[in-house]
Amino acid sequence: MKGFIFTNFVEFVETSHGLEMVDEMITNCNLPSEGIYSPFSNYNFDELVCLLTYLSETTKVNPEILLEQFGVFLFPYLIGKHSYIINHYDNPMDLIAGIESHIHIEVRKLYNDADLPTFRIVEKTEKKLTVIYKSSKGLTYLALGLMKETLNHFKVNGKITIDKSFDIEEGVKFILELD
Amino acid sequence: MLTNNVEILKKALERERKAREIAESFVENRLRELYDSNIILSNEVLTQEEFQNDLLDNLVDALFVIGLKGEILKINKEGIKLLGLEDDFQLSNISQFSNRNKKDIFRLLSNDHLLNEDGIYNYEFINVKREKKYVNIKSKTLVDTDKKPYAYQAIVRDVTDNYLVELKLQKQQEFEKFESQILKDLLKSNDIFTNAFDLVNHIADYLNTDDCVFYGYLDGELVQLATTKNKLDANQFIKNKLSIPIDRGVIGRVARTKKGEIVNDTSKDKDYIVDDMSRFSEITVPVILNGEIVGIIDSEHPAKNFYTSDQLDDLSKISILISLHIKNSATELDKNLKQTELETAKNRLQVIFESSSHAKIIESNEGYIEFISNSFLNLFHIPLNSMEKFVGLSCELARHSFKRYFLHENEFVDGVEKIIKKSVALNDELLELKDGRFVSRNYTPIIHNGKLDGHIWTYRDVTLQINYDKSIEFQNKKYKSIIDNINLGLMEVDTDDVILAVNDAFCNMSGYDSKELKGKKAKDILLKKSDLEIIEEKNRVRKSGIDDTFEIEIITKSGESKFWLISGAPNYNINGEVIGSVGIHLDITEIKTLYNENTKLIEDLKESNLELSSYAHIVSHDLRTPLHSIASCIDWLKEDNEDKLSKDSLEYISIITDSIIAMNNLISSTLQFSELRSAVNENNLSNSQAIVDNIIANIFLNKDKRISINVLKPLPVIKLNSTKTKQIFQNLIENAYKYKDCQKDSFININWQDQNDSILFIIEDNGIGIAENHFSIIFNAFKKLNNRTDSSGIGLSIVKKIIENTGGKIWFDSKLNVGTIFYFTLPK
Repeated sequence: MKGFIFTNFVEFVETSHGLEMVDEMITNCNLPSEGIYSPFSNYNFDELVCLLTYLSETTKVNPEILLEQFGVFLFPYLIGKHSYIINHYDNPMDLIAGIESHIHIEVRKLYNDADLPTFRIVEKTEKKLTVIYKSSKGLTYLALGLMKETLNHFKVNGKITIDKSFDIEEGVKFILELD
Repeated sequence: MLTNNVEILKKALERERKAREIAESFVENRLRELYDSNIILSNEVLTQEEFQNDLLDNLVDALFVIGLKGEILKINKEGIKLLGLEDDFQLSNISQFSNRNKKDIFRLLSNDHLLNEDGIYNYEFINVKREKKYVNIKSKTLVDTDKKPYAYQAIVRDVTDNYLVELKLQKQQEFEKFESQILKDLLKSNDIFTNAFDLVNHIADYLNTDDCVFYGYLDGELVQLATTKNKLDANQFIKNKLSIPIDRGVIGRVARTKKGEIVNDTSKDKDYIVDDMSRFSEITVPVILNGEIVGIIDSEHPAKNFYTSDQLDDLSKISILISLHIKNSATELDKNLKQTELETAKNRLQVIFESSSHAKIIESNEGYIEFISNSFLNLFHIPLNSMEKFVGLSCELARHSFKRYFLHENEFVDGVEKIIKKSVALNDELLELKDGRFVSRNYTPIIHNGKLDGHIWTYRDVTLQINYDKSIEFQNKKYKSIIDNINLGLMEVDTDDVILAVNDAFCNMSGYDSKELKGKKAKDILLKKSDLEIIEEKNRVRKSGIDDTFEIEIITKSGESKFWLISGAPNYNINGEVIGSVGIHLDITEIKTLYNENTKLIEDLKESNLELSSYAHIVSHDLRTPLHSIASCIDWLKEDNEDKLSKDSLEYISIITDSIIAMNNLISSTLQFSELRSAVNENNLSNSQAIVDNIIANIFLNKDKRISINVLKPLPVIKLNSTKTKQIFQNLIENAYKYKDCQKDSFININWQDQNDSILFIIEDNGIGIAENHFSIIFNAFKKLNNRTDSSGIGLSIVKKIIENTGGKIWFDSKLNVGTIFYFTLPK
């Protein structure tokens, strides 16, 4: 897993729960990396699981909510660094629909070894977008947080639901509906 | 606390530093890589050597420089192209080629022929792109400054295109030779078998196989006409000669599509039919003339993928060449076959004709009998053995000889002559024979190629049919007359209620004539608007096949309102489908009026009866009061003045008293009579024996015993209430007692008999009897035959009324001074 996720996660914890919590979390998780993350390197995904679990247990907040909050936190970082990509889009639907066909291609130019999730478009209209998200890591709620923040970024109101009836083996079905 | 915070910050700072170091080394590595690739790039500037390379690349021929160990030292663009390599192919050892091509290319570049410095070496190989290449190679050994060979230089020219053109020309020549051979053979003979035999052998030779078959297309089947030797037996006949229907086999398929095909693996073709042995390759070409299939050339080979598309093209050309010829030969063959068929058919027709049950005569155009059938002779009762006499006889003579059988002799003869003149087919002309039979005459001219060739006469005995038709017509007439004369209106309608037919009675009833009714809807003409729904409902019911009867009001043409009783039934066609309905209409206006009047009359009668009863009741009741006053006053008058009144006066008073008693009786009876009339008592069962016993006891209680009253056998239980039963028996028994003959020993006998549906009672006395002139008035109310005051004269009329009301009868038998027998019946 790319180092920038870890650096951002640590920053996220620091922003939301203070530096003490960061220290306590890193000390207690006993990580192979010892909590030293460089954005260029790759780290074991288990470390993120470990950090998230610790945070959830300590703060008594559901890990899914934490992940979604993290997604919201991560969005400006991604946007800020890659504005040359984001400027292509003037609405959230096109941006989300373009993850697979455009954004991920740009990502690969920089990080050939990145383990990227897939976003398959099932249905796309002006007001509605259905995507199947499939990832080896299952960071569904991180994706949800990112998508929600995408709506905010474009100052559009809408709701994003997860179709629970969808076969989990096939991925996660997100349904975006704009107001 | 502060120290703690500082500790935490220190740790965080430490982590950040280490992360930075990692990032720094990542960036350094990247920079180094960039530097390296820059060096490589800068090395790639054009050198003198590369100028040469460019020159070589512009060469038309391929150039290779091969090291002594077979490594490629130099190769130009053409060389790369020749080997079928990608443009960005890097100079390297040939061992990097895939196994498949390695051998070929290795050989191309191997030392063996490169050593041969003189002359040009021809070579063919398949390159990396699997293209077959034909090349000329000119090679040279390269030596270093010490004159020591270090490599070979080879200039290789791609001559593939030229070579292929040459090859094609060669094939063309071969084909032309083949073609001319076939033509020569075709012209040599006109026999299709010889031709086909030569053809298959030439084709087999040409195709480098030993198997070839020619199929001719005859009568919708593909028949093997000639085969190569492998399919012939010792006598040069085709073994297992196949005939293949056009819908079977690869051959059938080609015959249908009219397009030649190559089958590269017959085991994978579901249509393939094994002839003498199964082979893997098959080539099949149709022979087509004017778009019609005339034959098929078919050849097989045991190896897979044997035939080439060139061969298919060649055979197709040959097939065009031979098609015309084969068609001619096949037509010839066909003609022979047809001739044979024709004779067979003729023979069959002859048999059919002779055995036909219809009497036939065939007359030639010249007017002679050509044929006469057995049944014709039978029809006219002519012995069969005289047939010979008729054949060849002039028809005119024959006609005059036959005309004696016909009722209208000249009509028969003239008819024949007229028909022949017209020579147009004629069916079922009816002729009557003298013996009462009917025959139908049919005529058919025989026209061949537009020319009249003869005449066929057919006679058929249709007597039975005629009689049958006549009887049917008679029946129809009979029913028609019944229908026309029937007093019931008949109407036939279709399913839309449109009138199809009506009879005379219907017209009379409705006032319309049949022309005015036909084709119209009955309901529109005859019905009041308000009744439309009823008739529509009836029609709907009738369509579902149900008969019914109903009453409806009709408006006739003159506007009169009539009541009709209509009975309708659905009408079916031969297939059992409802096609409409038939209605029978009866005008019941009069009956209905009469019925209405009757009903009203009965109502009135009931009312006046009721009035009468209550009047009688009131009168008799009201009369009693003054009568009682009169009786009391008379009593008092008599008591007070008994001594003062004269004997005569007393006598008068006594008469008044008797009259008052009589009048009182009369009033009682009237009251009883009126009550009886209005009584609607139910008829319960009653025990007549008990009732009669009671009556007898009352008589003996008051009166003398100079009479015997006998019940001869125990009386039955009867279906009449006890009051009425008592009234009957009391009146009859008391009458018998009243009019007893005092000079005799009187008796009354009561008896009964069980009859089928009733009980007969018999009451017999030996009283004074009834005079014959009183017989008719005996049952009249208020008539009595004497002036006795103890009887009102109303009794027997009450009895009669009760009995008749129950459905019974009463009568009597009487003789003056002998006695009277009353009989009455009561239903069970």
